[in-house]
Amino acid sequence: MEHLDSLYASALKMTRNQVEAEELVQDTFVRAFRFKKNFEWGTNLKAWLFRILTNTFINDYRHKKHEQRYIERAAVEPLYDQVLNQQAVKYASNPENHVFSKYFKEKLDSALEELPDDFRTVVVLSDVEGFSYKEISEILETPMGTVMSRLHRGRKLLQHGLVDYAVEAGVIAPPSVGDKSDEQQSTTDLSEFRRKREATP
Amino acid sequence: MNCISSKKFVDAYLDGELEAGMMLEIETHLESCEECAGVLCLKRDMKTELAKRGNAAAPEHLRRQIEMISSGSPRVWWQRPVVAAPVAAAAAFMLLMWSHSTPQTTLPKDEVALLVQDVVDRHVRELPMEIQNANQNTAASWFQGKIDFPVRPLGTGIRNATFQGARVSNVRENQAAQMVYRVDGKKVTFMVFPANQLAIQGGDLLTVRGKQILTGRRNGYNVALAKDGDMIYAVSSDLPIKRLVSLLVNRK
Ligand SMILES: [Zn+2]
Repeated sequence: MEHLDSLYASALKMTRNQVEAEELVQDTFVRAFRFKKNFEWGTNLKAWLFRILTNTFINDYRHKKHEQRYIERAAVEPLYDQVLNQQAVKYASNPENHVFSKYFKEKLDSALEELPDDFRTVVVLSDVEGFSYKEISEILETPMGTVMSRLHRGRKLLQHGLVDYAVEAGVIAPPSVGDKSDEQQSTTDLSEFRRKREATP
Repeated sequence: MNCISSKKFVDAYLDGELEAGMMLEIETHLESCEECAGVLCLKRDMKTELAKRGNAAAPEHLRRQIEMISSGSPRVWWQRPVVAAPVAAAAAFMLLMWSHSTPQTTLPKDEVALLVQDVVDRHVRELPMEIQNANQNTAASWFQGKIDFPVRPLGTGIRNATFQGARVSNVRENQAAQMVYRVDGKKVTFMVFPANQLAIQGGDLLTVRGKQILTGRRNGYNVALAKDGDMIYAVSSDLPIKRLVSLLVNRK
């Protein structure tokens, strides 16, 4: 059964739920066999199956729930960018001892789950499945430029999630006012944002 | 190349999707910029880590189900258990024939999708029942005079099902009888409404014991619809779709 493991692994990441992942893969194969006339031999079978998988996911499985943590982070994105860039330098100088190394094992899946569907799907297709930009663009029937920007943003948001976990655990210090002279960042800082978030019910 | 462009294109660089000229430009910047080099290093390690997630193996029972789907082609016969009822042990397997006559490229059809959405909306909303503490036949006759078509309930042929209540509702501008049951401990909404001009085709159409059943899924809830004469019978729940299909098929 070609590509079943790949389809299942991605379905698991997309639906975030084992039962739904199994149903999604079943639906995908049922449709694939029903529409197999539409498949052109000699073209990319894996990409074709993933196109059915993602279409089915978008039409039938997408939950319309708000990604609360993501929305909160998006409001102060420049602050996360700033912390992320600082941490990236520290990470590169000593990856093994950086908290992100530990989080790659423990927190990456949760951070991925918090991403909105559009970004998560592109990250899964590129990084988990290893599809090229052209293939992803065909699978999602989306222009290449959109694939690139979603992937760029998706990875950044994923890293913001890791930053968030580390700040919450007290491992990474939130940036303080005047840390950098960027005027857009001088009015708010991350710890103030957190205090506000905790104050609201 | 400056930091802003470098950070924008570092993903394409990492993925090997940049043309040679751009690669050289970004590499020149990376040699002299600690921050962009750090960003690349972190992204590269994260990508490596994510690639390990692709090794998840599909469970064995899923593999068997997919093999059954594929082995029957071009006419796909799909065998799977419906109810684990000891009484019905002999009939524990049901043959589902996937209709093969009208291949479509886009699924589901808009009208079907709206119908499914509507039924799920009614299921999710916790509206008060107009009749409670009654059996389903009393409830069915209660609808007389309130809606202009006869209503037949799910009936008593369903295991682990209790009737909860009923109310007058609507689906896609049609009057509908809404009856709520608990089946296997889960809420099930059963809707009866006239078929009128509603197109019951497209979507996932299957034929079970001579009955055509359409299945759909919205917002995490399953829906099964059957057309019987001029009426449509729909059930929605978070029960598995095969259980919902069995409710419609075993309806008396
Ligand atoms: Zn730079």
